Amino acid sequence: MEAVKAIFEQACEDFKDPAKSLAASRVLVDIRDHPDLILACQQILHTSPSPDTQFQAAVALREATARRWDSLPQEQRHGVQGQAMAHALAAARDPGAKVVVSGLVGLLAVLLKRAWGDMSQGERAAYFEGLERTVAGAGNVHARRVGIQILESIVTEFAPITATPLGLSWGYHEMCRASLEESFLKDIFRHAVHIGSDAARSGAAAMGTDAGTCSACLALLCSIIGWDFRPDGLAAPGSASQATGRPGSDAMRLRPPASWSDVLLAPATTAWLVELLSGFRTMGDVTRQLMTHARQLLVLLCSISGDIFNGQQGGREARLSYLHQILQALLAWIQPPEAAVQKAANVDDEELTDGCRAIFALALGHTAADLQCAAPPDQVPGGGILGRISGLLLACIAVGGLHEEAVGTWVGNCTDMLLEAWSNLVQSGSQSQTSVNALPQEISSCSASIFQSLAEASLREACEGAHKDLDEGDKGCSGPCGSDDALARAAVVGRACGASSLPLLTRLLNDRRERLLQCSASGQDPSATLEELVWLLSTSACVLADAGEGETPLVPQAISEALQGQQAWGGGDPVEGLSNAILGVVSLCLDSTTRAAISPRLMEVAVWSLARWADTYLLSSEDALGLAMKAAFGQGPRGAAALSVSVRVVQACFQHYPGENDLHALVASKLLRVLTRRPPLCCELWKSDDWKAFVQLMSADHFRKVNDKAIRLAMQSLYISISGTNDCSAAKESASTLMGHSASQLANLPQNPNLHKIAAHPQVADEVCRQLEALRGAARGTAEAANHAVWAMFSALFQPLLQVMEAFRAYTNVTYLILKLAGEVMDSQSPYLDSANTQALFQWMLALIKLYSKHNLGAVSLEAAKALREGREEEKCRDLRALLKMVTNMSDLRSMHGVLFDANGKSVDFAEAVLLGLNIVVPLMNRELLMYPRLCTPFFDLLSHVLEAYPGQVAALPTAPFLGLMAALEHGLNHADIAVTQACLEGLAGMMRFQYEALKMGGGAELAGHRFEGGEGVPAHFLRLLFQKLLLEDRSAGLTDLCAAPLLPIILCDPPAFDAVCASMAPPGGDSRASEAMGRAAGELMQIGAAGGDPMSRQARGRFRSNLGKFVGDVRGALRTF
Amino acid sequence: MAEAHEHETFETADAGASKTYPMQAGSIRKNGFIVIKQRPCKVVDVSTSKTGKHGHAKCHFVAIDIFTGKKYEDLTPSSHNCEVPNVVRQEFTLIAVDEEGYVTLMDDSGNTREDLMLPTGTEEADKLAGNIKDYYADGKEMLVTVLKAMGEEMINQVKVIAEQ
Repeated sequence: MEAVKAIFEQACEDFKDPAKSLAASRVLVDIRDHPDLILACQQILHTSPSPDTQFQAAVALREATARRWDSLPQEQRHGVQGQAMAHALAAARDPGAKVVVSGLVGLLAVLLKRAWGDMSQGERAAYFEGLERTVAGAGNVHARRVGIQILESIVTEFAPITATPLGLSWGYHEMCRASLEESFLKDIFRHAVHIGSDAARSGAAAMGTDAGTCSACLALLCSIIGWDFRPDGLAAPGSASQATGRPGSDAMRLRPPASWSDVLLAPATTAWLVELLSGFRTMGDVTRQLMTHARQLLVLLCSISGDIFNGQQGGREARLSYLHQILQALLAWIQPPEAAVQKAANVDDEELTDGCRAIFALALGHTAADLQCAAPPDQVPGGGILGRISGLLLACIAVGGLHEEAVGTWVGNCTDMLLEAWSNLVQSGSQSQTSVNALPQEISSCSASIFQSLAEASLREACEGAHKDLDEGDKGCSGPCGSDDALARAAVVGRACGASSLPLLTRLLNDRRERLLQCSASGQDPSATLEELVWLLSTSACVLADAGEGETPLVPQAISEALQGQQAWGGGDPVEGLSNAILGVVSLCLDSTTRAAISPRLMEVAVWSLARWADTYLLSSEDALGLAMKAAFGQGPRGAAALSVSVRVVQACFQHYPGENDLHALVASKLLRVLTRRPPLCCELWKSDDWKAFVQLMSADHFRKVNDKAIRLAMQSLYISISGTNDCSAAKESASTLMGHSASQLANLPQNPNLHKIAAHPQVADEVCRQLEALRGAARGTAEAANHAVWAMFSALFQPLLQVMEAFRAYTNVTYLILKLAGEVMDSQSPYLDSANTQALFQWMLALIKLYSKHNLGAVSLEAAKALREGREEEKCRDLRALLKMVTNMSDLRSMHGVLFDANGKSVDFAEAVLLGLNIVVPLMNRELLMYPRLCTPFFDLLSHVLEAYPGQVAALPTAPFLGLMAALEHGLNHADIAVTQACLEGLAGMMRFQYEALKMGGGAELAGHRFEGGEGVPAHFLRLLFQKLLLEDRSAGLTDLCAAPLLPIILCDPPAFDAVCASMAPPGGDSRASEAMGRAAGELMQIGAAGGDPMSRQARGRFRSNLGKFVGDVRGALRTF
Repeated sequence: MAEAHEHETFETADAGASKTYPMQAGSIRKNGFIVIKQRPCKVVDVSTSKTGKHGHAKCHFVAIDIFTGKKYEDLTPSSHNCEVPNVVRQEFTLIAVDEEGYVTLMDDSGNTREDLMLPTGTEEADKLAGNIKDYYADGKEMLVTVLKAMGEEMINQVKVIAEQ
């Protein structure tokens, strides 16, 4: 033992020297297994003068006793425990031995947890009583502090989230958690409150003579409040849910059970804390740590919500009195707001940051009404707690909290938390005054000042940033300006004070519009004004309307409530005023004299805002709208006029902003989609001359400066709008006219005698692509009324498109677009087609596949650079995806139409077409391409489908293509993605089931005729493969069940192969017991109780599945053991 | 009117003598072609940005020389026209390969030409040339694709159509 002790002490000494620390730590790890380590460490604790060595000894003891617990004699366990306790109490006085105490405290907690399972309830209680007796017996404040530290360490160790693993099962940890929570946690809490309040009230804490006891109590209380309480015995940690990714996300939402209300909500729990916080604010460094702990505890107390307030009689009163008490403490830090912010700027920001965190936590868990009741204006000057919060927010904004440079600093964080808290409060109730959760009237008045201040700061920010370049991050979000979060928060605040925010926005928009025109006229730089308009437009749209995102957005509740009370506002309808202001800015692009003033970026934002507004308000029949709004933008001449303006805006964007692809994309994908989404809009569109003119221009392909993708999206919307023409013949005519140009271009092209010469020229290929994109838009947007006309057009194009694809085969884009078009025509048309037309579509797709295969199979090409090769792979992947989609669609045709007959009355062979498609795709696939998940998944899905749906035809394939398919299947079986493996196993099961049935009927010769390399038959090959996967490789859970489906028919098809594979699995020259065990397992596997019955019956398959699980376990065990 | 314009596009293309043609920068997509520094290139990346917040859109092209594999970059206002090379692919049946690497090719109409060599200069090109020689030695019948742009020509694809 002496030797171990010497080595240990030496290693601890060496550990301090950086040059030797690595070797020393290795020694410390190696020595852990020494049988004398525990005794040696106990000795070291006694004798060593060095705190570091003692600490290492405590850590080593903790690890060794936890690991060897079961083999330690009872006396030794008690010995270690007693010594650790005594030593911790003895070391408590020594300021240099803090680290030793922390090590020992951790050791004691681990020892208790390890023993907990064997202790009776009485012994457990006795432990805590003994601890208290020992601490009290020591009779000094240092021992008291250590006693509290031990309790904190126990709480930490027993909470599963912070527990050390100790090599114990989850069940053991869970048992410890549950029993501590049930029997002791509340008492520990009361004890900590008692000791802490004594230390605080006696003044010892303030003078620093309590040796940190009060601080330790606060830390212990924090640990207990943060305990992982589980409501209703739920095992999932759902109680302490964290609001991640949002400001103040470190604030937890704590939901202790209702049974805790007697301790947590008791006035005694909070009263001393309030005194502590309000009493010592002016203290110096002595109490800094104490105050930090106290504030942390208060933030946690603010985070409490849920059942604890609801589970008892008079819940609201309990909540209000609780809130009243903690708000007293909180208010002490944040009033007056300007002074609090000043102090944060000049002295220390921790207090303000904690205050904001507490406010954020309160706003998450409580409503504005409750908070205001708990601290009403007559008790808290300056508008009650809500007035205080808004005052603090205004003060933070005033010192630049919204400034770009404030991000990540205390003022930025505080502003963020307060804004988020305010929007939570605003949304915590209804604006209607009659409702129980009615928002206090202060919300509206405070929101008005916050919104005004927000607008001023944002406009200032916009002016300053007008000349900066756009960040990459600014692009691509749903709104083209700023972050979604900031806009959403501004919208919430704005809606809460519609009476003032809407007129304010209207005034600012009109003012900046005038200023922009002045700038433009006088030649001044308009950047700042443009940027202000960007903010104003997007904020106005967000305040007025929600994002529909495909669904019909309703008028926001806050706005509709405000509209109902609009008479109280006096004057005109503010919603109408703001709507007109938005339209006023957007319309600037319609006039050639003012168009130059409006930049592409502003136009993007204007289009986005117009779309968002129009989706909710334009020609809406919603009852929530006020009379003025209904008259101005509802169904009627004025609404129709506003719609016409929108259409002219679309046209102007296409016509007068050449090359602005982002703008065109927004117009086509947002604005046009909104304008054609609702039936009343579509009906009104076809009455509008502006729309007819636009359709005319589109059908003549007038917008040559708009790129293909935007044209496709626009065309799609145009076709959707055809549903608005109630006249069937008019619908047909519109459909024909719209597509007429593109269709005739493509139809006439092959008739050109110089087609092959023309096709050599890329600009012709570009032109073809453009027409194809327009046709794709038509195919995707077809309305039912226009269906016949569209089909007639497309069917006339089948032959020309084949010729075009042949002629332009060198241009991958043309090929790709034709394949995509085919898939889309099939998607949109097939539900409406009769048998003959379906047959025609089917034949066309088959011809396309054959043509593609003719030109792409087996080509080896050169690309001079890696980047080009990668580009080519991508192109190929894209083509193949389109092809796969087509083949899958063709297969779907069968399920949709059943049997089809061609002109000669012969039934159409779907299998032939699908197999042909697959046969083309398989050789084009390679390992690199299968790395693209978007290609890999549909490929294996199709493969699996083909094997299941057409097993007979697959088996009848010639050997080479058959083996090609099998190689692909094998690749899929070994794929890392379990979904791919599953698809392949299902496919294989389908094929083998078919083979088993065929053999039973005396057939099945086709599949039996195929041989793998080395003459191995198909069942034997896959049997070996699956066994290898199940028995020898690391398998993922669930694989065994999946493998059962193909394995049963395989074994039934080829029993000798099963015997052979089992025999080959036994280790060569190995133990005979291994062979015996394997033989036994194999025998049991096939006991599926099917004697005389159907071995593929449902019961038999179920039994085989469970047998297989046992078989795999047994054989893997046998292989490992012997 | 637009129809006439379209028709005209196809007709001029038919005449097809020019080495390049103009195209709006905003319409050139990834995998399209562009002329940068008088070299025919294929676009591998295109991104748009604005000059300042309220300027007009500009396109930033990264492109690779289709013959040499060299990388080029260019920045052009989105609404301006760029030169796009007339990249033409023509298929020929390969008749013979001689020892110096010259090939004899025949087009659809039976015209032959003997002025092209096997591709060379880059690793990939040498590999393709090796493939062609191997196929030729094995007596396989092949179609080769010749890529032509801005006065340069190069064999860039081979496809076996029949084993002899």
